[in-house]
Amino acid sequence: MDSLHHDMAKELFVKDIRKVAATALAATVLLVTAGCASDPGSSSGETPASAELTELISAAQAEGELTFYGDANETSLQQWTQGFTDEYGISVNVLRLPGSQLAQRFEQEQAAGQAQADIFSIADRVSMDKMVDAGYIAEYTPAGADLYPADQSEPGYYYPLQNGYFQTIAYNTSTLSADDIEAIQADPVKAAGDPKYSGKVGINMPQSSQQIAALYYDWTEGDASGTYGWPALEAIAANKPLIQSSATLVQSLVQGEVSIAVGITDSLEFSYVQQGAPIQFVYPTPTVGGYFSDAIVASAPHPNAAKLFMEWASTPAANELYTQITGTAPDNSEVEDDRDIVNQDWYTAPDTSQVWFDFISDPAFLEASSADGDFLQQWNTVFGYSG
Amino acid sequence: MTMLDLPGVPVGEAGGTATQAVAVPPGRRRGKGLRPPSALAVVIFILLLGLVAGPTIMVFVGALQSEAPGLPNNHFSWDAVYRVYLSGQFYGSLLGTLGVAVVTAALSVVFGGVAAWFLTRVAVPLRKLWEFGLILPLFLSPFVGALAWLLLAAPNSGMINVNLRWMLNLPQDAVLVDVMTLPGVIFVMLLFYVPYAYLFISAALRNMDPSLEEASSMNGRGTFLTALRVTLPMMRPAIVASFFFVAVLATGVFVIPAVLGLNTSFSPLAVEVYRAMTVFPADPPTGAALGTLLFWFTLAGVYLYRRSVKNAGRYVTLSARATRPRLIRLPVGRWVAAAFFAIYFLLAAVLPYLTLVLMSLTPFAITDLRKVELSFAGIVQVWKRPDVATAFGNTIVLGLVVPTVVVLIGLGIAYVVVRERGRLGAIIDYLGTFPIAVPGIVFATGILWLYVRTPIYATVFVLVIALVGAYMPQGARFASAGLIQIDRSLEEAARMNGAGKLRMLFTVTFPLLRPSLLSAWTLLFVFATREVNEAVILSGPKSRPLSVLAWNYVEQGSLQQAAVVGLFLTVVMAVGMLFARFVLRAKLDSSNL
Repeated sequence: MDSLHHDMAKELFVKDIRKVAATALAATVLLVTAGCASDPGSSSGETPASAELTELISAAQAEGELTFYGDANETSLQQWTQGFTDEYGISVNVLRLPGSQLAQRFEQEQAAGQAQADIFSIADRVSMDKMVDAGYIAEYTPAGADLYPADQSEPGYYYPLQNGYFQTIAYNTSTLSADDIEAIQADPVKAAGDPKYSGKVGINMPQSSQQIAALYYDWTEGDASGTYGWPALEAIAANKPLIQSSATLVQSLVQGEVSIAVGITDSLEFSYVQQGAPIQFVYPTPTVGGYFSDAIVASAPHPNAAKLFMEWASTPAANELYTQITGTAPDNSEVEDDRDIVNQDWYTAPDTSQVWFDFISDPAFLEASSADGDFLQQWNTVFGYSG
Repeated sequence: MTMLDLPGVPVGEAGGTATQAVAVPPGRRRGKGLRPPSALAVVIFILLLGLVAGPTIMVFVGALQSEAPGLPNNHFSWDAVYRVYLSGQFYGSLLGTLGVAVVTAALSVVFGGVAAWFLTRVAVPLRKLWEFGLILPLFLSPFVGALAWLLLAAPNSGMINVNLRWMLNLPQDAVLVDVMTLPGVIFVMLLFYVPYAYLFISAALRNMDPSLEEASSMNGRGTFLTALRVTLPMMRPAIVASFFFVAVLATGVFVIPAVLGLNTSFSPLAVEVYRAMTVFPADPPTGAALGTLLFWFTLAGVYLYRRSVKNAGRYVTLSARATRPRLIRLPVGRWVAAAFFAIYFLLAAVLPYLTLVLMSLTPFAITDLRKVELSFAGIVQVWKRPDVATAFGNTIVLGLVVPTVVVLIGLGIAYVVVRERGRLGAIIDYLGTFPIAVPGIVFATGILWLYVRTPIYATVFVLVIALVGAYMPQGARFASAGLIQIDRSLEEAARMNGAGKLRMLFTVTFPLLRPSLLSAWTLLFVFATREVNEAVILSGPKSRPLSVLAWNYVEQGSLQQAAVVGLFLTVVMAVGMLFARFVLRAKLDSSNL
């Protein structure tokens, strides 16, 4: 018993020492930076906020690292969070999984009291709302919150700090004439059904993601059914399209196996365009899209690093960095869209008023696309696809 | 349930050898005087409960829930089981999957068997090289292999078509090869399954007593009649065993038709499982129930497979004396065979690997060789990632620990099953083969549900536990195949001289089995290094192996980076193989399996 007491006392002592050391370190950093802030050369008027921020920075640096759970693409997340590391010297561990797996994994961990994630970022708002309702998401409002689209935010919980992404119809320029390209730009859905592209069309199957299913639903049974309807898809089906999922289909398009590919996310295409691959794309009207929501996890093992990350990530500079890495359109109102691609004749940024975001909570769509609904069955029949 | 448990198994029947008499001694105390299970059997049983039975049971539990187990609103529900088993929604998938599995297995066995016969019986020039070429596709993940073939032989834009068009002055729409057709898909699938059949059948061919074949040809039967009338019947157990092994494996892999855009007339079960687990809105109970559906069929396959493996012992020679069958000198045939093997080597190994190198050196797919510009940018980009060192480390941990533990436990299983038998032995045998019957993604989810509340969660150890469980069947099968050939009296001598069981295992059995255990180790090293389905589900931010990085690159369409990681993985595997070959002196060929 005695030795146990002794050990415990020793452990407490060591912990105390550590705490004291950390506090002392934080205080020193605070004093030094506060000194800088009162320097006449620095900008005035933000002293109280700066002091708070300085305190947050030192607390975050004492935690030393951050774990980011996200479903955006791996390279974007790595390079973006590297910006945070470069700024504050706090390393970021990224866990990237496909959205649905990420949500399941996160939910399992939270229900089991397994505190791993500091930041949770996911494109599916229904999943994010579920996590908020379950109490897994911390309340936090970063200073830059107002700069982001309010209709994609849940004030006090999550904000779309990573840009949106939208579905496109893409084409390979090396296999097409200028007239062909003009026709595709004018009406991409109709062009994909033009018999001249028989055997040269690829299409993403609606089973590969809910968003792709929503795109086809919108055209055939949703708001745009008057413009397109099933006959538009039947025309594409008559071209005997190659049916692949996104990552393989973009590959088939880039190498020229197909000339037109229907239903590829723009975020998959930007990097190919930047590298000079012979592809271009157009946003059909209407299209579907979504934003990634970013939030702090209630049980975050590094809560201060998480807060600091949200502060950093909501700045225009961080959004600019994300824009530059991904090629997607900036969604921070203070960031100008000066991407090279904007100056290309063929590129028109998506008109967000023509984008269907609410499919995730649309009862008719959810019913039709569920296992008991008939939408996927109908699509399969039209394309002669077995699912 | 197993053959050894059945009364009246003929012992030492015609064609049998001393092995049978030793392995199944007459007068075994079966039926009444039940031997109490040995301490070793109990330890192995407990290990298997944790590694295999736990996650498998979790899958069944998960199938009977309304949501994933462990979530707050979850409750008992028959819905998923009803949907999968009774609603009829998945019957088409099931039949189609079984059909493809059987056809794939049959073709693999035919090609693997013919290749094995030529490489073990005919004096084909450069045999070692061809054998290596046959096994090489195993190092490549099927996904990467399929992508390489998409780049090589797609009808409009494939490298072969595009370049032969300008080289031979053909019209722009000439199609010389097309891999995106049913025969094309079958061809690529066979590249990945023929090696298994080949390994099984050639091992049996090498270990077969050649005197019967010699007697046949002395009596005037020609080479091919001897092969058909003597060799083939004697190979029956190995053929049946490899057929079921490949069929069970083939129910799980559908990535090749998916990548090559083949529209099958059914949706493969493995794809349905994947969608249930990963596409919004996810339905883990249905995924788990689908996993249990495959389980029954694969279990039936495993039962038949075990039967044929049990019989295989009867056809194997006991002693370690050299039984090199004489090589037939087909004067023309051996050159024709060599030409076929050379073409196979080119298609299975050289072209896919060259494509992989090209992919890693070009920012995006350019199939016209005149336009290709090479750069190391992709390699630099991957190399500079902050987590690439950790991923290397994790891959090496998996590559070293998983095969070692699997081989050791596999040896224990084999000893209990082959030598001690008894009821517990039969249970252990089945437990040890369970994981092959559960799709990897479902098995890993079972592990996740089981371990999410423990401190080792999200570390590389959970991954080790998952992979050890998943590869247990391979470990047990390699060890018991080796053990069945070893004379029991050698072990008995050790025991008589006072050695304990563990001492005997390590001083007698282990050294005798060393060649086949090392071959097993090497093959498992390759599997553990390239495994991705389970690693994706179980690895945490700091425990991701290289294979998961590659998979994430593929997911985001960055094939260059995926190819770079694929090459890194190949380097790790090559180093591991060289280590096994020259330091441990293991041979990865069929003669030791």
